Amino acid sequence: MKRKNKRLSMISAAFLAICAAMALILAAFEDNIVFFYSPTEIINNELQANQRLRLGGLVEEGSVQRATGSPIITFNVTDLITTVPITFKGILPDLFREGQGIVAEGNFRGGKFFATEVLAKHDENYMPKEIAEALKKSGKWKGAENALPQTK
Amino acid sequence: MHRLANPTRFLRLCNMVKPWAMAITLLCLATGLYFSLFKSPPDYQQSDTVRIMYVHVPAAWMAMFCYSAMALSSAAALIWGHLVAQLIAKATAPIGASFTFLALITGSLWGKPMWGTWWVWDARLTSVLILFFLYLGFIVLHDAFDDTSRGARAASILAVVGAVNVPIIKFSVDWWNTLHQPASVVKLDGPAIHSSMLVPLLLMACGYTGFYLWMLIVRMRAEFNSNKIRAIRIRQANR
Amino acid sequence: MSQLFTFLDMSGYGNFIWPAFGISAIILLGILVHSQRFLKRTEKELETLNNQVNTSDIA
Repeated sequence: MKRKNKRLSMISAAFLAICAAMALILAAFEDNIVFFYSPTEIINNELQANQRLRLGGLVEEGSVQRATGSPIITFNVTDLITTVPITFKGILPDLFREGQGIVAEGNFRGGKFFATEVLAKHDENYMPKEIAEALKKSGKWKGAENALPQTK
Repeated sequence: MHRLANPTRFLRLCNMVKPWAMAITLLCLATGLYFSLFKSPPDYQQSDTVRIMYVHVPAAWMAMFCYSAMALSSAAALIWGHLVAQLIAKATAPIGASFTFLALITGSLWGKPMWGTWWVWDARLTSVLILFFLYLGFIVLHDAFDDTSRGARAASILAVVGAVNVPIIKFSVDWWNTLHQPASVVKLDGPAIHSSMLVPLLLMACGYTGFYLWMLIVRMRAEFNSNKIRAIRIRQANR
Repeated sequence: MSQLFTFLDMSGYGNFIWPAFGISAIILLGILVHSQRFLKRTEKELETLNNQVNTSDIA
């Protein structure tokens, strides 16, 4: 019985040591694990020119503009502190709309973000259309104002 | 727990549980599918693609649950040397690997129309892919040695070491910013899913859990049989 | 008929939703078949081995 207890404590100790090592590794590589930067982080950090990176935030209400006859789309992304203008040429995901979260990949030059890819991020709330509308009507809506039910 | 380490007693329990596991699986999956495909409404943002959640989320939960079961029984096998514990881990591995594979594939099929991409290397997706490789590593290690007990021990050690990945998967969406959204059901201030969508999700989750139990019981019997076969063969060879 | 079509179309996302449900069904059925076969195979093998052992003991 003694040997088994010793084995139990040895395995527990080894497991805790692995957990601690893993925590240290993850903390050391935190910058690499982060999937995107917020507009504030991008403005404040010194970035190399032409460095590819991802920018994440909310699409500012009323900022989406499509020039007629041109595939270029411009919009602002904000973290409610800093706002960064984005230029993008390509196909937007179905979930892209004003007030929604997005992650754009590209580079940041002269205060502007030039995106080569735009991905939509969705939140953890799931509900039917009727409930979402009722919540908005009663003023209990907590999400983005313009995230209207999809009309596809 | 140690009482169940007796194979005869364990198999008797299996026989008792099996019809219940089967009934729960079939009942929950049938009603769950009916609710997922017909009764539940489209999401206000994601429209009908929210239905993929009903196969994706339970698969992801089971992927983590099976790994935890595998790691805990591997630890028990290493500490007390119970054959039952070792076989539970061995029987769970292929089931867990399949659930992980399903979580990855259905997630990809959900990500393409909603996020706009099949795959990204964010913390959540990457850690689940690592989980899949841990399962594969466990299965391969188990058969990698001529001496089966050495293979079992090597695989058990891998399972226990890899268990650090489970909390990393769970909290990846809170610790780092990811493309994957945070948890909806298991969170402190209650689920963020409307009840009309929570019902099919929980039914499917029940069905998947029942299915795991059912398959575990079938595979445990088979594993006990192959163990006996191996013992007889060794006895024959030594004669 | 058109009702069936709107159901299968899933507001345009049928191409993603049906494969997701399909692959889930295939994989789960695959586990079921594999596990049952595994059990049947070992049961048979154990039976033949036990018969061999018994006959050799008598002899």
